[in-house]
Amino acid sequence: MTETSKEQASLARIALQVTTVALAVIAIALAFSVPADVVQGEPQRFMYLHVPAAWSAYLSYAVVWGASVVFLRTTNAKAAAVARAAAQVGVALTGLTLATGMVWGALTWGTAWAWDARIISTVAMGLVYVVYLAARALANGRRSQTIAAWIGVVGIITVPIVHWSVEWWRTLHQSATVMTRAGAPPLDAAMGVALATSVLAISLLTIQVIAARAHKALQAASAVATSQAPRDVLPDALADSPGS
Amino acid sequence: MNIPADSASRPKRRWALVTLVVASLALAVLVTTATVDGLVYYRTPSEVMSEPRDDAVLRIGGYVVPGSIERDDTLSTLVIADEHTHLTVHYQGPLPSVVQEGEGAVVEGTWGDGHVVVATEVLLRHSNEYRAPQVGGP
Repeated sequence: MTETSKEQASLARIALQVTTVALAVIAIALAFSVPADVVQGEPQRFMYLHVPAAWSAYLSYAVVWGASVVFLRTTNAKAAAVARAAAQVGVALTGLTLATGMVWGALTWGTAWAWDARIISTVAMGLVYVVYLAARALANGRRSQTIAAWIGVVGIITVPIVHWSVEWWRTLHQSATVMTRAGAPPLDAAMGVALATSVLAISLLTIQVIAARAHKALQAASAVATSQAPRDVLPDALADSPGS
Repeated sequence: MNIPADSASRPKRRWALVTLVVASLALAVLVTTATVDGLVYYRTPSEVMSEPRDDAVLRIGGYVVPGSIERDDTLSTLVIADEHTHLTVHYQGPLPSVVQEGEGAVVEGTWGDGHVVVATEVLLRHSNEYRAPQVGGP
């Protein structure tokens, strides 16, 4: 990279960070100022954290899928780093989804936990990527790395299962409001704007955290690679635990 | 092309292995229970009424008939319904405040005497609609 393009890249990064912070501030302001739902009352505001967390978990797993496909074709170290970072962020966001869902559920349903299809499938989705991360940490050869990457590819099927679980099965969780087969989403315009803003802010944040984590892992890997004798395409520090 | 695991990573590898085994087992248990028990969280009042009564625990989902809630400190009552069937539910003690008339509810309990379900738990099942309170409304 030339000096100018490096400068341009860092300027773009700063612009993205500023945009994300601005959107986050607007999202928080909207989340607390738009009217709360008439039936659920104030706890309904958990929606502005719960829904973006769930959506961004889906987004992270989509990144795992894409990066794993690239890795399987090219054994590219960068793709491997991105896939792992995305899986870590996705698992964290799945945890946040469940945690906010529990508080919201306790306040509106009257229970923090129900073994319904939405909650079971969400837990299962998180576990698939925990398995993926553990497989990645154990993989120390081409064969095991390929198997791990395949988990990252196949794991994406959990996303539509979680999303449609509320339509396919009878659940305590209500059916989807946005992204349904029906027409206009049944929520008031102001709430829709607050939700869209919070989803956008947390999506942007998610992408940047994934990129930063992947970048850090690659740097750590190249530091190990230069301090040791040159070896494989995928350096040890990236393939398994050290430096992660 | 095996990369030898270096000694420093051994405890980490052990953790990864434990995580892999535990998470895989948990996943298998979840999928199995979901497949065996089915993913039906509740049954409708009509379905429950059409089946023979036994001591089994029932989970019934429907809407709370407007005007049917009687809140009392010792015994509360509500009527849960679908399009065809109304079912009276008794609940020991005051009903949870989340339960509202005209909204969805999921009731867990057993058949009591007569045609009454004795509930141990009553939950709100809210819809996917989000509406601001009407100006000048209740």
